[in-house]
Amino acid sequence: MNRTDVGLLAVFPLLVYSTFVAVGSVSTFGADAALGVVAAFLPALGLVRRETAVLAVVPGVFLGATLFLTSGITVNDFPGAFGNLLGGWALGVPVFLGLCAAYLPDSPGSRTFLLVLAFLASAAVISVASVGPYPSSDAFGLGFAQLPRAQASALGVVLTGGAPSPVPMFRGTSSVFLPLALLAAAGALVSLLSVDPTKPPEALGYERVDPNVPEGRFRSLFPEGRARLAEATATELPAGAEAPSLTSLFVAVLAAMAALTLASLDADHLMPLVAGVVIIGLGSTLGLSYASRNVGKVSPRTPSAPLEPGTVAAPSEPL
Amino acid sequence: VITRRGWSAVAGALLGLLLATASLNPVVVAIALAFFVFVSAEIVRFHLQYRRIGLDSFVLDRPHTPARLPVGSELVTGVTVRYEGSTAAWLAVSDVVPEAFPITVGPPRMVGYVRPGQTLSLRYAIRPALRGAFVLGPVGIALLDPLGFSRHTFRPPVSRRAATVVPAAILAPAIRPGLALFSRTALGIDLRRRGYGTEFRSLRPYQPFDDIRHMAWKRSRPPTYYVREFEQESRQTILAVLDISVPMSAGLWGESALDRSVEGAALLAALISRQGEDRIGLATYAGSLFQYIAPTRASELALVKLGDNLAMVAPRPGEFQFAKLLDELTKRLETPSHVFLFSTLQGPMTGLHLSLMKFRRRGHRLYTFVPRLAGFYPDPEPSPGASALDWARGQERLRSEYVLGVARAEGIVSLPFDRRGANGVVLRAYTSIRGGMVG
Repeated sequence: MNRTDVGLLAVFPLLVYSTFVAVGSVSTFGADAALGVVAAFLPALGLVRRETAVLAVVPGVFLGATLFLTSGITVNDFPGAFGNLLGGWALGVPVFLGLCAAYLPDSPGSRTFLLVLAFLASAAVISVASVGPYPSSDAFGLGFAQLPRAQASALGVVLTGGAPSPVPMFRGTSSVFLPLALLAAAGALVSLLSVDPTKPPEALGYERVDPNVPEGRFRSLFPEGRARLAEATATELPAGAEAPSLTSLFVAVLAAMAALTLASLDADHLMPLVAGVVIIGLGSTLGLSYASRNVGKVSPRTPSAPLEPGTVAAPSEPL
Repeated sequence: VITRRGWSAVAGALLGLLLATASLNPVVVAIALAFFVFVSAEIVRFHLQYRRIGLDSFVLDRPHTPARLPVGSELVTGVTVRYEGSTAAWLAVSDVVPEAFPITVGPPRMVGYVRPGQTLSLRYAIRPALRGAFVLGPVGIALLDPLGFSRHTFRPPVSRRAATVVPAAILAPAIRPGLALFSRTALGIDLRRRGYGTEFRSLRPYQPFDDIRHMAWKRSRPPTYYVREFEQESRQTILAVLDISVPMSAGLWGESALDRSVEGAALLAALISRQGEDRIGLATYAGSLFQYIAPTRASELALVKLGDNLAMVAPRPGEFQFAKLLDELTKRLETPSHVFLFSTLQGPMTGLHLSLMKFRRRGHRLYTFVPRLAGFYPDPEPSPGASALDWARGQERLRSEYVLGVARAEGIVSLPFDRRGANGVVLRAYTSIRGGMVG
């Protein structure tokens, strides 16, 4: 277990808590609903047996797509076992997204996106649960699928200068939610700070590594040749960020705290803050990337005293 | 430079932030904002921290790499990089290895953590597998962000190293062959007598320009003096001629008829150079004489020249015309010579008889080494295409028997060889010329 795994573990208390709250809001919990929850938790199997990873995700993706395609835009209730199955999956969706993020330790982009989605799903199921109780998981699923639509309406009100009440994604957040969310955020950042040292360098965005040709197939014409292999420096891969990366972490935490403080004092200025941070962050990233691609050419220095003689071009060297 | 991984992190964090913003939930927005700030701050920090790093922050040194490498040998090479930046860094060093140099111990890449003034040494082993001139390098140096979001890459052109891959026989002393490949001179059994032949022919009256050491003292009575004259001159002139027309490219990569012929010619050149008596030249032919190195006294320098030329021999468009080649050689060769011709003899034979007569009248002798092209490809696995190959092989055998028949009818010594190589037949032909002096 490396730092990535430890960080991701810290994310799951929030996700499990929100699922627990959601299940508590459903009064009748049948076998079909339980099957839906199992479909949401199924990717946990894929973490142990990576060859089954895709197979473990497929049922959840299918149920999620079905739920939002049929009930996301217009109100289409599925009564009965199939509806309960879809609703069961909706109860466990935060854990489902967290497990999917755990599948992608080598892709910080996808992992970040899925983790944010898992946070959103947590807030969403808690919000839907707060409107309950529901007679069956089928009704919970319908409420969950309708939440983005309701949120979009609320957002429209906000953007046109109104003040919606209540904000759908902000309902039901208890005093437990905030500490668990901060713990999960810290864990997610820690998981981003580490890389797997057992992976080849291309995991760091470097070049492809060629496979070795088996040794012992060819004779060496230079008796000292094999001894030279011992001069090589052993390959060492980074296990995590360097100490200077703590600066980045500190800045990130500072931004989050500023956002939370601003939200509690004057929520109207939260959006301008986010927009400002995005403009500064993206602008500086793009600017530095452009500047680093246009470096002037400088000739490298040659060693003052070569380690060994004879490094001359082919035509002038005798046999 | 921001890596693909870095861009994906920026994109993922930005997308997450947009979604979180749409939720209007301040906790989720703050968390998503933290992700985005962390990713962009990490990229900015890396670029600012290493903004002064340039090519002059690295001192490169390659271990000694011989300028000439024999085919099939193994070479341990690499590069040593001394880092002279101001702050410690993760460095990845990689070398560009030509495809013709399969890597036996590798890979030619490494990653390590270095402080200012420290070095990283990359070492790997390669096996030159194909004749020709190649370039090792340039070395790639990458300054990596441990999270893989950014990197700086440098590829100094001075880190390139030229290498010529020559046939193995050219560098025979390094290979340490069996005793049979050394001349008796090289072994210390000095049977050489410069200017003397091997078979006695007759006595003739002494002339003022004759070497006094040739004098037959027992038969001479003043004022009449005799010198011994020999049937065969000790110093032979040999010209290796390579047909480089397209049919000679038949065969596998590095094992074609031309490759095997070049190996045979290289063995001949190496034997003659180390034997020290004879003269050796080289010609290549495809429709016309493409290259001609007049026979010269064998020496290390001549061997280097021949080796470099043999390394670069490659098929060219053009048709092999036997009679035209012999006419050309008859014009160019000044002294009676042994011509070792490596060719498929695939081309018109018209006018051969007349050209051969002229050729022989000048005292030249011709030996042809003919690759049996039907055997230059391994047997395929049982497949629908196998019968087609069998048919093609049958046609090639018929053609080969026909041209060998024509050559033998003209009295040309013809020595066929297969994909295992021409070294055996070349050695046999040369030792027969030298009367057993070699081998």
